[in-house]
Formats: sequence, C-alpha cells, structure tokens
Amino acid sequence: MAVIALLSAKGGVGKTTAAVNLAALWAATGHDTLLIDLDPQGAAGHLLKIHASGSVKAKRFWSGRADAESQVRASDFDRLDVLPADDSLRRAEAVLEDIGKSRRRLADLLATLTGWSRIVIDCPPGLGLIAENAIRAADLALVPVAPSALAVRVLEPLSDLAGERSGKLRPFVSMLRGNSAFLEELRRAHPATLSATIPSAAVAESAARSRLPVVAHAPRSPLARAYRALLAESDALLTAEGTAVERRGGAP
Amino acid sequence: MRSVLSPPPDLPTGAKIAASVLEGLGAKAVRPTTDFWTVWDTSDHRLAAAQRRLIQKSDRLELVASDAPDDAIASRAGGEDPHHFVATWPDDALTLAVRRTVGLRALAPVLSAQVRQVPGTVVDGQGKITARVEVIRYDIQIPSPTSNRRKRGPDPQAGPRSSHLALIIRPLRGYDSAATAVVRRAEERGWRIAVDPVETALAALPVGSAEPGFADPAQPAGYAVRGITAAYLPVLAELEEGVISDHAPEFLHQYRVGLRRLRSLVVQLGSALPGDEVQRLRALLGTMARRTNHQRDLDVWLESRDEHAVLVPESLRHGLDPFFAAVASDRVAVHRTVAKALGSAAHRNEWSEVEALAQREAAGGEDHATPIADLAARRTWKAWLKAANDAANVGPATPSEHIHEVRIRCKRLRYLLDACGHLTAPDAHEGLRRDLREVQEVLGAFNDASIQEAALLERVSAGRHPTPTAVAVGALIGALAARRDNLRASLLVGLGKLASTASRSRYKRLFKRSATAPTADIGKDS
Ligand SMILES: Nc1ncnc2c1ncn2[C@@H]1O[C@H](COP(=O)(O)OP(=O)(O)OP(=O)(O)O)[C@@H](O)[C@H]1O
Ligand SMILES: [Mg+2]
Repeated sequence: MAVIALLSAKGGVGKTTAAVNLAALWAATGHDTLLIDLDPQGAAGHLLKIHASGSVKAKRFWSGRADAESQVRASDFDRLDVLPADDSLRRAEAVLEDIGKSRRRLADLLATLTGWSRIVIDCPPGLGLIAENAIRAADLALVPVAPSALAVRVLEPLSDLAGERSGKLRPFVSMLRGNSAFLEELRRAHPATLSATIPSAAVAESAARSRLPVVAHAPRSPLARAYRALLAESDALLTAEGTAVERRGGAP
Repeated sequence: MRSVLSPPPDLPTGAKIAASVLEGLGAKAVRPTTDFWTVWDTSDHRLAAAQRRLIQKSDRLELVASDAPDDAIASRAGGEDPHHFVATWPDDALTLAVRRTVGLRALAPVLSAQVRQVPGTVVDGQGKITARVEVIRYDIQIPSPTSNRRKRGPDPQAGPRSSHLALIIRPLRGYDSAATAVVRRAEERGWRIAVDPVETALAALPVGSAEPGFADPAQPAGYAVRGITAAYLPVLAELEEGVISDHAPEFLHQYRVGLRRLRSLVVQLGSALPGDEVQRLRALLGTMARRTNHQRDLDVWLESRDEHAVLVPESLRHGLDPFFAAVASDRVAVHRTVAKALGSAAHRNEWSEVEALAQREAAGGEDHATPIADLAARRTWKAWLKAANDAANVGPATPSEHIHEVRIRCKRLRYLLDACGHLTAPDAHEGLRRDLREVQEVLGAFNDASIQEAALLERVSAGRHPTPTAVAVGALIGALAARRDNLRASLLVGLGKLASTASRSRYKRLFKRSATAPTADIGKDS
C-alpha cells in the first residue's frame, strides 16, 4: 500500500483537482484506490458526486473510534473508492489538539485499512496538525505550487513543518500559464521539484462543472496528459522507495 | 455481493427485451457488449472442486472464485488459447494460482458461452451511480473433446446450445440500499434470485476421475479391476504427453508412479481376471515403465545435485561439476530416445492393447464375481503379512538387497491401502497410510543412498572422469555409505513398528477374511 498526500500552505492551487485525477488514474491502471478527503469543504467528494452521510463525527473518527471503512463509498469508476469529508472535519484541528496534539493519528488509522494499494489524501490548505498528520502518514507528499512572485518561498514553512521527513515533499508546478521559466526557478530553490507540470486550462473548470475528473471528462486534453505524466513520475518515486506496489494482475 | 436473478416465465423475447427490462427497473442502458467465454478445467474438474473458474475471454484469461466472478484472483492479457499444460505457462501470478490447484494435469475447454451483456446504471439525484444492473444472455455449449480449438467462436462440433437470460445486480460500496431496492423491484416483476446459469451448466457436467480408486465396495472385482485400468489410461496419457514435451521432470516421475501403481494393483488383485490377461497387462505396463528407467535415474541425480554437493567437503566440491555436466548431457540424449520411443508405433500398439484389455468383458478369474472390497481386504492382509514377515527379519547387519525387498513389499501394501483402504476401513485407513508412509520414507532414503552409491561406483570405475572429479565422487560415495548406515537405526525402529503385534491385530481386524466365505455384510446393501 502506498500513501500519497496532496498538501500546500496556500489555498486554491490545485490540490483537490490533482488528488482526484491521480486517484482516478491509479484506479484505471489497476490499483484499488481510496481517495480520502480531509477538507471539510468536501471538494474531492463533490467532484466525484459523493457526499458523506454525516454520521461520523470528527472526534470519533480521529480518535479511531469510528469505523472509517464503513464510511467508504464507491465512485462511478471501477476500483476508485472515496472516504468523503463531512462537516465535523471543521473541528478536526481542535480535536487533534485535544487528543494530545497527535501527529501520528492518521498514520495509525491508515494502518487499519486493508484492500487498497493506493491511498490518496486531499488536505485542506494550511500547515496545521492535519498537514503534519498527512506528512507523517504519506510515502509521498505532493505539493502543488502555482507561479507567483513569492511562490518559491512558500515551501520553506512546509519543509520546517516536515522536519526530518522533508525528503517526502515533492513540489510540482501547478496552474502554469504560458511558457514561463517558473519550473527552473522553482527547481533552483527546491531541487526535488518534479518535472511534470500542470498547465492552467479551462477544461479543469468544465470538468468540475460536469463533476468528473479531467482524465475522464477530456482524456485527450493536454491537462489530462499532464496528470498522466505526474502519475508516472509519482509511480517511479514510489517504486524507487521500495514501497510495496501491489498491482492487480491483468489489464486495467 | 451481487445478486443473480432468473427471468419470469412469461417474459417476452425479442431484440429489445434487455433495454426494456432495464428501463422497467429504473436503470439507464449503456453500451452493450458481446464476448465469447471458454471455461477451462482438468478432466476431473479440479478447479471447479476448488471453487475456481479459469475463464478465457476475448482479451484475457482470468481465474475467478466461483462465488465472486467479478473479481479476478489473477489474470493475463491476451485471448488466445492457453497451452493445456500449465507447466508451459509464463511465470506469473495466474500461473502460480492455477498450478497450485491443477498440478501437472492437462486443461481442456469444458464449457463455452456466447455472452451478450447489456449493462445499465441506476443513478441518484446528483447523477451519481448507486447500483449497476446488467441483463445477460448466455448461449452455452459444451465443447466436444475433439473440437478444433484453432478457430474462435461457436464450435460446430459442440453439443446443442442452451440459451439463458439473467439479470445481475451489483451493489456499490456505500450504496447498498439502492441495489436492494432494484432487486425488490425486479422481484415484483417476476424475476427470481437464482444461480448463475454458467454455474448451473458447469455443475451439471459429468466429472471424470483423476486419482483412480474404487468407489463401490460391492462391485464385482472383475469389473472393478478393469475399470480402474480404464480410469488410469487418460491420466497416464496426459502425463506421457508431458514426458514427451519435457516441461518438467515431475511429469516423468508421476507417469512412472502411475504405471507402477496400476501394475501392482492389477497383479495383486489378479485373481479377479483371467490369468493370461493379468500376465499380459503386467508385461505391457512393465515394458512401458522400463522405457523411461534411464531418464528417471538421471533426473534424480540432477534434482538432488545441491543435496549431494553439501555431502562433499567444500574444497573438493568443484570436482563434481564435470560429473553433473556429464549427467546433464546424457539426460538430453536420453530424453530424445525416450520421446522417440514413446511416440513409436510399438508403444502406441501397446497402449491400444492395454485399452482393449480394459474393455474386455470375459469372466474367468476365480474372484471375478467377488465384491472388490472383499478381494482387496484379503489382499491387503496378505500384503501386510509378507511385508511384516520380511520386516521382522531385518537386523543391524541385513544386506541392502534384502532391505530393498522389504521396501518393495511395503510399496505393494501402500498401493492397496491407497486404492482400496477406504472400502473396508474408512476410518482407519488414513492412519494406516500415514504410519506406513513414515517407514517408507526411511526405506526410500536408505535405498536411494545404496543405489546411488552403487551407481557412482560404476561411473567412476568406468574411468570417464579426471582426478578431481574422481576424488570428489569418492568423497560422495563415502558420505552416502555413512548416511545409509546412519539410517539403519531409524529403519529398525520403523520396521519393528510395522511388524509389531499391535500392528498385526489392527490389520487383522480390519482386513482378514476367510477366502472361502467372504464377510457377507459388505455386499448386503447392494
Ligand atoms: N490546472 C488548472 N487549470 C485551471 N483551473 C484549475 C486547474 N486546477 C484546478 N483548477 C480550478 O482552480 C480551483 C481550485 O482548484 P482546487 O480545488 O483543485 O485547488 P485546491 O488547492 O484544492 O484548493 P483548496 O485549497 O481551496 O482546497 C477550482 O475551481 C479548480 O477547478
Ligand atoms: Mg481542495
């Protein structure tokens, strides 16, 4: 099982869109995949037409007293399941504070899940306890960075937060407009930056309106191609790390 | 878990029926598909017995659990016919999973079906899919064993087609209530929960047998013994094909075991058949097995290479390399000869003769009409007496040749217990076989060491090897002799147990019959 988290300090940089598309691609290439939505906004679930029943309260979930698996729902795509967010997640940070600022709660919870070979975590923006939990639980922490004057510096607080685990952090350029030299700039500041670059494209919005992943809505679009490149690069990293890459036998 | 439903008897037929069924259930039809499936299994349906289906579809071969056919346990892309010996398959998860169940047995198509699927989806107010529904039409045919499999699609030589319509409803995780509602709606329209038509058709197929044994204790021995010969033939034929194509040494081993077992049973139960028939079968089966003696010896060397190497001091070990290289090259030549011999007209004629003998009806043996269980019990008791007598005579200084005799006697007893023990001693025979197997293992190890020692002596004295090899082989001979002597102690214990009074009274109670008045109650309920 490999855990891939999408996180960033800034909001609106393309975390959720990347999480949904990567999860859909992993499912389509034969991995039983679970997308966990940790953002109370529930955008990831919304993009897959899934809403939580609302019966699991944050405290019960984070304290490990709620059976997370019972909340899992099948998406419309084969092998892609979703653990949707619900409103109580708004209090997640506070709950985590209450239970002793736990930083490994999520890792412990994930360890109880069986049957998925890829778990993709969509985090809310920010560098709170949820982000810390996600970094701890992840094998790979993908960080979308949208070009802006100060963008290359937003990674520093995240690296500080990750501490000795900062090796898991992999920035990638998101919502790139035109052919800017932003990739090189980001690379200079952060050599671990991935080469896959996600362009800014209107098809992202139209896919969101249809409540479909871009890779299903417009599989031949340059944006879908960019997500496939991001997937390939992530897979290579996971394999190199020696993460158990258990594929279902056979064709997708 | 998916639900399978069978249609109401008054369901109209016609091209549009699937779409209208889906519509009636509130499902939206999506693009229909057509595929052609072939289910493969061994003649004794080992996969089915293990609740597995090996299904060849147009684009893949997949192994599924019979109660969860939607989730492949393992699969491989490509829709071409699988080779009927799993031993030839590429090393992948599918091969491993299938091999575990079928071993060396050959696979053949047991059922084929044209499958027309009209899938549909049930969606909620958000457009989210909450259940998958599918109308399937199966046109099922049972392939004839001689079908030409080179052409895909419906098989003109196969049996009659039968057509079945089914409705399959698959719940989606987290949305079970939606699927339950669809099932309820279908039931209101006269559909009934049923077994998958493919499962029903598979369950109705006649199953051949692979581990030939006797089933009916009351069957007249003459029929039973010819019947077991007939039952061995397809198994031996399959294994023989494996020997010729040489995918794995195990084929030859199993082939020889099969021939030996059959021959031993025919001879030991020989009073059921006319005397000349027994003599002829014995000669034929013996000749067939002998054709492969040399190859088996070489296989044993090659298989035990590592085990032998560690018996030789490390500094001398490299000397064994030329020896094993010589064995390996002999093996290549010998296999060529064996393959030729097994394909020869003489060999095929012998096969036909065995086949003809197995089909005979003539009475003539003094025990022709004796219930097989009775004859087998008498023979088992006798086999025990002989084995135990010989075993009791083994002492610390008994020569290897005599121990070899005891080994043969134990084997005969074992074959009888394996094939017939359950007829008269259904509860005890597993235990008897286990005890006997323990002794046989020591006997086997002892015998291997003696035989190999002798074979090595012969090889070195033939002077074919350079000095380091002769030295290494010499060391190996010494080690084998030491191993053999070490085995004597446990051998004496094991043989003592076999010949003990406890063992005697057990065998006597279970198997002793008076030859003139067979225990009547065995045949009673027939
Ligand atoms: N590559 C893209 N090109 C254009 N628009 C995009 C792209 N990716 C995402 N968007 C749009 O940008 C908005 C924010 O994207 P998204 O929700 O994926 O970001 P986020 O980082 O998850 O945001 P938040 O921090 O609020 O969770 C959405 O409206 C989305 O449709
Ligand atoms: Mg988001």
